[in-house]
Amino acid sequence: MNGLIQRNSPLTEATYYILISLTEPLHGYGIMKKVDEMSHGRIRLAAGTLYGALNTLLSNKLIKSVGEDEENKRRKLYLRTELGTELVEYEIKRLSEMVGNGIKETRSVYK
Amino acid sequence: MIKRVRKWFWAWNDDKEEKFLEDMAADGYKLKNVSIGMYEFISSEPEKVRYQLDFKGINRMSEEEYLQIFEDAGWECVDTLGSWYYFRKAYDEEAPDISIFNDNKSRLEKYRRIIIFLFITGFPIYYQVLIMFPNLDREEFNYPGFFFFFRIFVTILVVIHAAAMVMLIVKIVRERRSIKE
Repeated sequence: MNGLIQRNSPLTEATYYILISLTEPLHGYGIMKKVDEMSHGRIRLAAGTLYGALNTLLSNKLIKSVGEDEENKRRKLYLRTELGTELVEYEIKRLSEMVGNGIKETRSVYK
Repeated sequence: MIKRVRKWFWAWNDDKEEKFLEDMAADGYKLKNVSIGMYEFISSEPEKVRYQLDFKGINRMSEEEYLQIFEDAGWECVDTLGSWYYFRKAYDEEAPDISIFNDNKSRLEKYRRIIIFLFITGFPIYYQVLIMFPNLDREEFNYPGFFFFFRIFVTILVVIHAAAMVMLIVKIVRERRSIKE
């Protein structure tokens, strides 16, 4: 476990969704659509947040640039790196524990 | 018809600037372009519009790609002023206060980009005031009178510049404190 993961955790909901969506190469617009679908329309990624997150993720080497869209060259494609996947796994563990504890505690209290 | 308005907003009052542009649109003045301390509007039908200001700052993403992301999210870039981008979107009743940010963390990240930008661009003027000026011999100059005023001008610039950085840091610290997430 390295310091970079500690420093980036906890991820904001938006950054978490951006990072998990990049299992396949996607451009900004593709990320917006995929996150919208995954969250059943609950999360509409805002442009400024997406821009800021892509920059931070790039400079922390959690994602990488992998070329551009064939139809529109202004749309660059991104993909999660191994380090990015490590961070996602760390977050999944942390969040599962959070949810698990929540269920356990509230059910024992309110039953 | 074109209407020009002289107005000055500091970087940490960008939310007030957005509100000003929205009020102008409601009065029937659509923003056309922005220059330092001056706004140009075209007369139009009064309309409810959402304005958002972003600061791109210095990084690897190209302006083309940056603008494409905003366009894909439905934002029209009206004009730019240095690294400031003025975005506009039609009013939507379902999302009356739609923002270009999902959370406060990324909203405050914008001010961090401004501070970094100021820090990099400010280096030459700080160098002049703190290192070059004290070590210069006035006798060497052909126009000492001009140099005297130039020095005052640059010093004022440094004071404003330093004040702006301090104000932005204060804004970030204050908002961080008031936010509970």
